[in-house]
Amino acid sequence: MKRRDAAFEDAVRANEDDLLRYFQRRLLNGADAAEAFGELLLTAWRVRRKLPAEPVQARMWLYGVARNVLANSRRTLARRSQAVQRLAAEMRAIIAVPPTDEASVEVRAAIEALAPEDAELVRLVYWDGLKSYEAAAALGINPSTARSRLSVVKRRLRLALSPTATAHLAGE
Amino acid sequence: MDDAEIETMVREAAPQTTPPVGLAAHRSRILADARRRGRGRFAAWLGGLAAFTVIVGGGSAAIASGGLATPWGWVADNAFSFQRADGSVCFQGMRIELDGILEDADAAREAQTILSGIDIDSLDITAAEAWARELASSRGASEDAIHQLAVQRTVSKLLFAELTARGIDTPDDGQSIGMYSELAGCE
Repeated sequence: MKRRDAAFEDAVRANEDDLLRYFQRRLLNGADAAEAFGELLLTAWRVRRKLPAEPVQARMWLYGVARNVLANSRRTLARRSQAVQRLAAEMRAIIAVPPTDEASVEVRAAIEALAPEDAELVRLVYWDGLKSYEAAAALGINPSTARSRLSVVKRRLRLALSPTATAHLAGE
Repeated sequence: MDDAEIETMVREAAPQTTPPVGLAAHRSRILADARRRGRGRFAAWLGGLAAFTVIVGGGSAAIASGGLATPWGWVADNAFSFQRADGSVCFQGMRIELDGILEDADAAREAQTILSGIDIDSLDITAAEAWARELASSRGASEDAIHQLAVQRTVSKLLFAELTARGIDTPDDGQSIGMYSELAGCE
């Protein structure tokens, strides 16, 4: 195996669980998440020459490709791949479950109401566990911009959430 | 409510995920699939070169800077080939055709950039195939002909949609931008 291909497979192996969860959290349906994950692998493979050598940069590059896959609903490569369809069939019954308590429902609605890039920044940092500079790289924005946006967004979320939701947090 | 509390609320609102069993094995199969596809495309491309080299009697085919030099004597901005049902290869070269517009004009360069940037392997040709099938139904055209026509239509629609999106409309004062193509081994 060529060194470039081995580096690509190492990067995918190190991040595959997180990347699949990324799609599960956003698409909920297991088969949809599986197709998106497959499309990510097939797309990234074709442009693997662009994969950064440094592991953190490689991880962010994969998240960037994942974001593009999410934005494009066609999944052309995945739908022609038997291997992807096999994963989709296995994941058909796996549904990501959003918490249904009142506070969580309200928080998700407040995130949805943000500008799309701000909402994705919030999800990347607090749902997917990325550092703010990592999320910035995945979104193609400056790290300091990401930090200041997060600060503004948290203020907006605080204002958007009702007293009921915040009381839930306080255990009242 | 402070920042830490907001952050906790946002984290707790995330959908709970369950990973499938054996994801690593699935990943291996998907990447093996990707490798096979890469080899298949390369083989089909080589087959296409061989086919049209024979047809034109020794015309050379080589990648030129900015395009593909075809045996027809012109440089393609984009090209595709696929294996037909009988095992032969159909090859199609496409280029931007200008009428009344200089080759170094911005509009001409934009058009060439768009056409050469289209990733034909990843196109969704479902709608164009339905159109081509309907068109071909009364003429007894083969599935291969339908596929070729569908790819060509999809490429041209993408090209002209993108030209329009970039504000480049084909003027009506004798100037035009078109897409010219030639086929080899498709009949």
